[in-house]
Amino acid sequence: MLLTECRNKIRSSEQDRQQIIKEIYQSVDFISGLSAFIRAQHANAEELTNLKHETIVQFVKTMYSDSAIKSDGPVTPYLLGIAKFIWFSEMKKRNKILTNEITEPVVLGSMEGFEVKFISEEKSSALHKILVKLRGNCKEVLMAWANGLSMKEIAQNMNYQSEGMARKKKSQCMKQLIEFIQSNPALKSALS
Amino acid sequence: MNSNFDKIEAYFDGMLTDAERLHFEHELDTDKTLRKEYKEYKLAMEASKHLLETDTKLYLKELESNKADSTNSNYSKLIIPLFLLISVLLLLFYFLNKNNKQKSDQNIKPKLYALYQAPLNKMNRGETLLSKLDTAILLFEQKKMIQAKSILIELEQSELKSRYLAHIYFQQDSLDLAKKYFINLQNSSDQNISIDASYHNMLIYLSEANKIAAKKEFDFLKSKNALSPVQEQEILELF
Repeated sequence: MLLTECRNKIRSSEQDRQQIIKEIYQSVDFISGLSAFIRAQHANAEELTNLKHETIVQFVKTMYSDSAIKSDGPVTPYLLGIAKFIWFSEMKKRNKILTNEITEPVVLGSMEGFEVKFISEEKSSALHKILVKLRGNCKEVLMAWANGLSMKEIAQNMNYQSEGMARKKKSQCMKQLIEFIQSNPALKSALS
Repeated sequence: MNSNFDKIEAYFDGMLTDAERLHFEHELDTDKTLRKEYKEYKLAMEASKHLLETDTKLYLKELESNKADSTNSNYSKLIIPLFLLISVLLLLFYFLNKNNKQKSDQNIKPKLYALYQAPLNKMNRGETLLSKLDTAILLFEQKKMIQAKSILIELEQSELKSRYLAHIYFQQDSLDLAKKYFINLQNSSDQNISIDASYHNMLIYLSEANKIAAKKEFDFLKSKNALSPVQEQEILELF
């Protein structure tokens, strides 16, 4: 599978996105490549699982926002590039390796300007509550809008008749979300 | 564009002209309520952006959980066929064993019945006034087993009653019942009766493939010189 194909599916609908995530999650090439890398790093099984999840999350975020795709190509090397980038960044944070070790050719080849930032557990838990609360297509509409998809794309993905309809829906969903955040000070504090 | 919400939304959606945008930014500096709502809108927008990450993480957890379930389910999938296989093997073993036993019974029973001996001590009976026991024995000798048994069952307990009932059950292939009577008769003070009981018990034990018990009876009979050499040889062949 090529990156552009992945990107289009990830941005098109929740169903397609989940299909791509599942394919990657079960991809033999990706898992074997990741396992080989993890073995070479003398890491354990738990670290492998964490890295696998973080890589997929980062991949989905990158594809969705479309900011980091410089050129098209197969997915697995790109995924492994992200995995290595996350791993070396984490090692750097823990002061386990020297900075120059991160400048591995494979990593730099496709990861120039790449940034990895995951949300905290506390924020994640608050967002989970929001996900449960959002009704209708609000989750998909807000997710798309906040990640830079145009109203035209949102209207297409959600099968709305016009951009105006998409905008109206986004407006309703934002009101719903703001009301929910306002009524939950703890949630508001976790998100701030 | 009436409410603060509409203004903020238009600002973030890039729907304002340069002048409107500047005016809005000025308002933000001066209007406390607008600033508060602006911050809330921004917070909601940030949260919306991160929904993708949370949603993806949740889906990955679901996949991980399904994988664990599937692993457990695979164990279950292994256990159930294994259980079924063991059950089938046990049933197979049971039926093979049963068949072998039946074959063994089929092989041994005719030989055992060939060795059957009717009671040796016939009663002295008068020609006319026969007791009920005599009548039962007479019917037994005439191979009228059902009538003989129906009379014997009504009689009071006696060694002769037990002896003939044991023989009737033996001939009717009710070996368990026959054995019950023969075992009691083995304690009889009448040596003929105890030898007769021991002999038939030995045959029953052989039919059950209980060679140890049968051998015990065989040794007892031998010690009492109750077996002819031919009988001895024929019985030994059955062991």
